[in-house]
Amino acid sequence: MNVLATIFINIATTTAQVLLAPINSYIFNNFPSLNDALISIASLFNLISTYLNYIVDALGIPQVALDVIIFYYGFILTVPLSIYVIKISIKWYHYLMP
Amino acid sequence: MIKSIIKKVIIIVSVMTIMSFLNSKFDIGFILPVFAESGGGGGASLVQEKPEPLIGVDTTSGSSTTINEMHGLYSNAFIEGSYEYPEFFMFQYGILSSQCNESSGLCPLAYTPSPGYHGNQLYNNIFSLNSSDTSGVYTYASNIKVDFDDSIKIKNGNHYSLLIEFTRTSGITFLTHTPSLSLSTLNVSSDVSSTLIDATSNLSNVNIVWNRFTSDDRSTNWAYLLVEFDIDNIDLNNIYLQELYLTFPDGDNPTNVQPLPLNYLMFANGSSSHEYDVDVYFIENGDIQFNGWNCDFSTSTNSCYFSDNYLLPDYDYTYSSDIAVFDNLPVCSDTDIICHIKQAFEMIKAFFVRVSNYFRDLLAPNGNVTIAQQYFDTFHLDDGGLSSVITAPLNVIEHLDADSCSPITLSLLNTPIVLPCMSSTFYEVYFPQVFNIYQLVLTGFVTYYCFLHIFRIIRGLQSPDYDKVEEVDL
Repeated sequence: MNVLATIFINIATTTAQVLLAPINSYIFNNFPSLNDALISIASLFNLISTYLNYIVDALGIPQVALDVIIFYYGFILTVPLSIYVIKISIKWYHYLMP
Repeated sequence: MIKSIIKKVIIIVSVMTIMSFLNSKFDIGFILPVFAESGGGGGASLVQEKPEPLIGVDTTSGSSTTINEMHGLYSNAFIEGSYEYPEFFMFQYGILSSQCNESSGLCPLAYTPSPGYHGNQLYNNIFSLNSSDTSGVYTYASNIKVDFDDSIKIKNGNHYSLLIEFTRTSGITFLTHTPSLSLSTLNVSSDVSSTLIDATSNLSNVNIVWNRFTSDDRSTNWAYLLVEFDIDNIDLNNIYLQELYLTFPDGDNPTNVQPLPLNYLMFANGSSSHEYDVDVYFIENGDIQFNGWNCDFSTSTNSCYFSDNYLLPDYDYTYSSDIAVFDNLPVCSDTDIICHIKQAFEMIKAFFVRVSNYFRDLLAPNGNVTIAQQYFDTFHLDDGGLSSVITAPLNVIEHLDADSCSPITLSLLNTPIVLPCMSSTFYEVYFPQVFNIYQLVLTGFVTYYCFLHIFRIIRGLQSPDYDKVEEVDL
C-alpha cells in the first residue's frame, strides 16, 4: 500500500506542477524576490524532512506504526475517490440509460 | 497532544545537545557512553568530501563532445574538444610539457594555421597534433576543469554568455602517458580544491600572464597571444563567466581574432607591436562586470595596467531603478515603525516599477530578447516556488517513508556535535524492555485510530449518497 501512497503523491505533485507552471514561470521571471520567498517556504519543509526521520526515531515510533500511518493516508486519499468515481459513473449510466 | 509531543522532542534534543556539548568540552563520556561515541574526544571532525580528481578528458559528457586535437604553445599545450554554440559542454585544458622544445620555442607538432570556425564548431587550432602521431611520451597535467553543463544564462541574439564552473588543482601534477589520442585514458590524480572565480573580489588581483608567440620559421606573420589567468588568492565561491575580447585602439585590426569564452585569447596579426585593450567580462547573476586592461604588447615588453572596473546595467534592458529593491532594503529594528513604513512604500513602488517595466519590454523589445521570449525560454515545470509550497507536505510524507534516521550534526561554538539516532544507540541499549512496551502500545494506539477511521470511511461508502472525498489539508 505504500507504493500506492507514493504513486498518489507523485501524481499529485506532478499535477500541481503542471497546473501551476504558467504562474510559476511568471513569478520566476518577473518577481524573483517573491519566487525566492516561496522557495524559502518549501526549503523550510525540506529542512523539516531532513530532521523528520530523526524526530520519528527520537520519539521511538516503530516502523510498523509508520507503515500503518502511510497506509492510512494512502487509503483515505485514493479509495474513497475511486469509489466516488465509480458511483458517479453508475449514476450517469442510470441517468443516461432509457 | 501535538504540543506535548513537540515539547518532549524539544526537551530531548536540547538535553542531548547540552550533554554532547559538555562531553565535547569536558569529556564526560564516562557518564553516558552514547555521547562519548558521538561527540567525545574533543568532538568529531566533519569530513568534507573532496571533489573528484580531475580527469584528462571527459568524453562522456555530452553526446556532441569530440576530443580530437591536441594543441601546444611553447611548453604549454591545450587539449580540448570542439564545442558548439549554443550547446556548450565540458571543456578542459591542461599542460603538455615534454612534447615541446622550449629552447627553440617551437613544438614539434603539426602546425595548423587555421583557427576559426568550421561550420558551427569552433576549433582553436594553435598547434595540432596529427591524429596519426601516437608516438612519444606526453606529460600531461590538468589543472583546470571547465564545465559548461547547463551554463547558458544569457542569450542575446548571437551573443551567448555563460557560467563556467572552474575546478582547479592545488598544484600541477604530471602524469607520464603514452598517448593513443583516445584521450579519455589521460588521468591526473592530485589534491583537488574546488575553486570558482569570484568576480566580485578585487579583480586587480587577477594576474594576467601574457605570452607572445611569433611563428618565426613559418611563412606567415601570425602571432599568438595567450592570456592566462592566475586565479590564486581569490576567494572563489561562486560561478561566473569570464570572457575575453580584444580591441585595437591604434586601428590596426588583426585578423582572426577569437573571442573565447575561456581564460585565454588568441589572435593573429601582421605586425609585431601593438597596444591592445583586453576586456574581460565577468558575469554574476545576470550583471556584467566589465574589467579592462590596457596592454602594451611588443616583442620586448608586455605590460598591462588595470584601466577600468565598472558594473554594466542589466544585460538587456535599461530598467528603471528597480534592481534588487527588495533585496537591498535596509534592516530595520523591530521598534522602528517609520523604517518599516518606508520599506513598505519602497516595496510598493518597486512593484509598480517592475510591472511597468514588464509591459514596456513586452511592447518595445530591446535587442533580440524580450520578456516574452524569456518567459518561454525559461519555462520549466519546476522553476517556481508556488508549486513547491503546495507539494511540500506531500514531499514530507514521502520522506517519512523513504528515508531512515541519520545522525544530526550541529556546530556549536565551532565544535561539531553529533546527535545519534536514539532508538538504536540509546533506547534499545539502555531501556530495551521499556522501549519495546512503549513501541507496542504506541503501535496499538496508532493502528486503532487509523483503522477506526478507515472503518468509518468504508461504512460511509456503503451509503449510495455518501460522496465525501478525503483530501490532504495543504
